[in-house]
Amino acid sequence: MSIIGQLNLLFAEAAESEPDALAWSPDLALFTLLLFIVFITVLSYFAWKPIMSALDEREKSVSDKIDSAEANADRMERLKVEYEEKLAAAAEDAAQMIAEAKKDALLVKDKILADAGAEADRQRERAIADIQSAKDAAVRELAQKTVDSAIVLAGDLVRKEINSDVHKQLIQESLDQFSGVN
Amino acid sequence: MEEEIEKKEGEKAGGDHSHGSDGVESDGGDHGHTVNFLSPGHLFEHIQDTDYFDLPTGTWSKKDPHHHNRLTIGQPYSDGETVLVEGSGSLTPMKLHLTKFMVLEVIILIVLIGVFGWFSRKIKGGKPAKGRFANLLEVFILFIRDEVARPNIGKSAGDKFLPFLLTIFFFILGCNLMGLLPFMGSPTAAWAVTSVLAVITFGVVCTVGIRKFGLVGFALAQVPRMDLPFGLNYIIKPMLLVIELFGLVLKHFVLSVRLLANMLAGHIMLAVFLAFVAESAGSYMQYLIIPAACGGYVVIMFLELFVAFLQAFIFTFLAALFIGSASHQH
Repeated sequence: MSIIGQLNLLFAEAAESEPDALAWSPDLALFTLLLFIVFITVLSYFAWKPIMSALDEREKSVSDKIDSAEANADRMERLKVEYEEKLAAAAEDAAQMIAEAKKDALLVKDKILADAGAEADRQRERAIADIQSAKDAAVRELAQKTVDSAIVLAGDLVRKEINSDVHKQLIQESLDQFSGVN
Repeated sequence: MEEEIEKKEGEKAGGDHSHGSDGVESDGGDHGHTVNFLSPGHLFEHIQDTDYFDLPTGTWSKKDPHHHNRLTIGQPYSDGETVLVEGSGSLTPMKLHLTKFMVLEVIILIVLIGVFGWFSRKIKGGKPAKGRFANLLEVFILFIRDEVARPNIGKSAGDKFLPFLLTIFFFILGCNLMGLLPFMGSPTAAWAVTSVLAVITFGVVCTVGIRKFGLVGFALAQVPRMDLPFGLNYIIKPMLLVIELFGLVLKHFVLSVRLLANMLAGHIMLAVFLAFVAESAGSYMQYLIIPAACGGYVVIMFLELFVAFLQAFIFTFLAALFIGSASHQH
């Protein structure tokens, strides 16, 4: 008997008495091999391929979304800067407008005041002129009246006897009359 | 030690009549003596492949009236005769037997197809995964893709091997976790299973290498580049070639044994703790031993849970590493 045969016999005896941790069953091995081939085929078709493609799709969509989000963020940043500039310009414009309005208002005020002053002056002057002309008219009327009364007096005097005392009294009377008018 | 156990058994058999009913059925029913729960044969019975499922104590199987507590698997293709392969040594004869591990593997296949089919529909079209379980699955898949396949093989090439790596990872994980369920077992605790997985990996590695460099090129690519004086080149490099080719085969052999040893060792530990319970039941030491054994069992169970994930990861990681190194010059 060959050495290997003897060894086999030895192992066979050992296997009968003691359990063998390395017991190798061709049934189980063949079955496992076939089943594993079925395993890998079926699982690849039903699970791994769809799962892998789903994961890849998700990866792609996530990275796309990140890209677009970054692009959007950039755009927003630019817009923000733009609007901030616009806001600053608007504020500046507003300040300028207010200053201009103030200046205009002051000018208008001065003009109104000046106009009002001038108008007042003009009215006063006109009033003075009116008074003057009224006075002149009154004086003229007075002179007329004086002349008239002088004539009346003279007529009276002529009719009456005129002495110096009466003469003096008449003059005095007419003077009093005058001053009473004035 | 053996004598002590024998003695204790004797005491038990004599003193405790009720024990016989909840003790597990002995293989050699005709011997008529109580089982030694701590014997290697009994420990291994619950770990290795069988053609029956253990059932909870007290249940009755109509199919197999001689054995309580067990559900014998129907054999559509086998009358128990040896076909094709004669068993010798560790090699068991080929009988076309349907066994527990085959049934469990099919269950794992169905569960995985169900779970990942559901998950693939859930995230179809790039939708985000919603819910804890879907996110958990995604964590695993993305981990295998981003931490295992792509760093070791490369981005586009790695994605090409992803179906293989994911299948191997979840198959091993499913097998490992099956062993933690009551009345089930770990198919990865059988060398036939782990060796087939290693052989498939070896086949993938060789295919990748040969496609890239050609048969001779792949073999020569195993030899590290070095600057040697003219004469030494022709002596050292052929020796290195032999060593490296042997190493390539050995790497995959070790791949299968690593997984097997891890699963087997963990389950034997669990079985030993359970055997402590069974062995001490009825003795005056039971109030001390049973709680301690149960505590130890729980701790080892947690360790096994960790090891189940760790070994699935290691196997997948090394497979990716080997594929990656096969497609690159040393």
